[in-house]
Amino acid sequence: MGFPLTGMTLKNMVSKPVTKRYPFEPQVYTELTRGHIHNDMEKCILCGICEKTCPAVALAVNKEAGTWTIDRYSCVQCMACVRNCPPRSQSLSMKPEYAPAVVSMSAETFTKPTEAN
Amino acid sequence: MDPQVYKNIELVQFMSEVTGYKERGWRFVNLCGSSVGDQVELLCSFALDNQLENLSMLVSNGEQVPAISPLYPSAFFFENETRDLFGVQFEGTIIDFAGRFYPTSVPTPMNPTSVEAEAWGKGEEVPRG
Amino acid sequence: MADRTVIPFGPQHPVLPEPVHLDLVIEDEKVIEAIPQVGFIHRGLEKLVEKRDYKSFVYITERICGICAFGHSLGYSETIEALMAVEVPPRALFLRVIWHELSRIHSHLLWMGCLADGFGYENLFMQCWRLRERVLDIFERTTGGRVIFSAVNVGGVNHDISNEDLRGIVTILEDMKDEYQVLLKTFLLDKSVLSRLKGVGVLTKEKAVEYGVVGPFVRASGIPDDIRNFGYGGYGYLEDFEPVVSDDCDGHARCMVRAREVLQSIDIIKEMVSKIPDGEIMTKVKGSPADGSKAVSRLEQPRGESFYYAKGNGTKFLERFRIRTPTSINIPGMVFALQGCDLADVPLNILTIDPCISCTER
Repeated sequence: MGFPLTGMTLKNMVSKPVTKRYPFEPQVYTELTRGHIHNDMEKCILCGICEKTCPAVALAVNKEAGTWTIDRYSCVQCMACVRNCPPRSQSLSMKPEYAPAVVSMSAETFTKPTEAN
Repeated sequence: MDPQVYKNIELVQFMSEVTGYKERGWRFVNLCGSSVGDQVELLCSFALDNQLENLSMLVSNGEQVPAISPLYPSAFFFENETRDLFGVQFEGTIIDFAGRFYPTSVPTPMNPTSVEAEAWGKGEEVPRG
Repeated sequence: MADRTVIPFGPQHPVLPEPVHLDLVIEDEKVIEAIPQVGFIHRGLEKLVEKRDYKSFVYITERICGICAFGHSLGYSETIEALMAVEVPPRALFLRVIWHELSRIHSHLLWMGCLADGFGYENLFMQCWRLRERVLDIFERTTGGRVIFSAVNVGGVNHDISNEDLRGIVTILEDMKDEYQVLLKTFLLDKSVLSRLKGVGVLTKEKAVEYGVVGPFVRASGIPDDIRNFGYGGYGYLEDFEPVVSDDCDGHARCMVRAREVLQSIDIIKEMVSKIPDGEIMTKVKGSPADGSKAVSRLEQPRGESFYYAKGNGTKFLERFRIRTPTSINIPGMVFALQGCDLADVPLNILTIDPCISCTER
């Protein structure tokens, strides 16, 4: 019986807040944090394995046009595509920062630079 | 890893098997359906400590299955679920929702003969009712 | 006989973060009958297994529910491993147990916070969630996600934790333990907690057996039923395991079982870290589940035993995957435990069962 939490409560009154004043104090990400998918189009071989393994159907690869499209609204950041990216290409990677905010629902398309350019 | 024990039984034996488990003090674990051709295969599992046994039986469309919820009250949840998703009719469920347990846009979406299952198999757009 | 009234309860209710609806038949202030209604968030994820590669589907299973995420991906992987007879390397088994016990700590602390919030102890609620934050930080550092880990796949685990980091985790948990003791004492001895929970929602041992309830719910009714006890997966390496049991059968007993399980989980993690072998973490899985092959497996999740069933059809898509979550079998028990209790005790009664409706409906 009694109130065992009293000590902790009194200590709380004089200690600093546990929460962070977020926009003023930046969030620190760890190396492994799954933020957003990044594709290095120079290395990408447009094999389409990422499209087949994506559980959320967020990726589309068009070999003829040389484009790689990601719908960031469907992407669930599971890293299935990064893990299955073939070793001869290794173009996909996971970046710890989150993708920048956008104002309308749209898919992002990246085009593979052609060798002629 | 759990023991993999499957007993294939006929639908008429179902009730006597379940009564046997109840008398031996086993607890009800799961009841679910899956499709085999045009029929639904019911899987009903019971457990006692680290033993786990599964009864499996085939049910044709329109066949009545005796409800086990009078014996195992917690089975009513699974009977209503199986009825809504697979269209298996149970007789004597203690709390019977009569097909209103899960509000699905098409009736019995997981039944192998339903419209949704056919459209899904072909990769077509599913008709919405 | 007094007049009967039907009071609709939920799906939106301040005490319930999850959508379950109950029709409470009331006579005076006593509940005569409760009729549950679920299905507000049924997503048909069990059907989706027919359209997704069995190796990718693990990422969908962990998105069934935020709190039980690790348990579901682990259960799915274990079922497919049983289906295809895959041998998992021992280091992966140890890492799975460590993550699973960490997620048990985070789930129980979350629940204890919700419970404290449910009976109006805001201070206790904040302290519980403050401690939980440290566990989430461990998750972020070791898997990259705070709630959804994507750490397990069929055949092993995706990430390794270095032995140094493992010892770091134990140090963090040891620090936590001191502060946790204060919270534990509050939950077990505080006057306001006791007066709100003692004698609420009694489910006797006989009734618990009859309704087949699982997890802390059944252990609080005096039945030592725990899947970890049978030594499946990495739990076989534990020296000895004794489930936390209470004979009081009421809401406070359920609270006590969960509160003590946090300490037990910390001990399990400590033992696992001291024994972990070096070596591989992933077995390469080739091929697809054979046609007509079946497998079942069970797992002790924070909320109780969950049951998984998978059926292959010879392709890389499964024919059927079934998850029986702990809440789907606890809901009938909860409905029967509600009969005869006061209307004012209904929210707490539901909370002490720890329902997870997202899991239940999939």
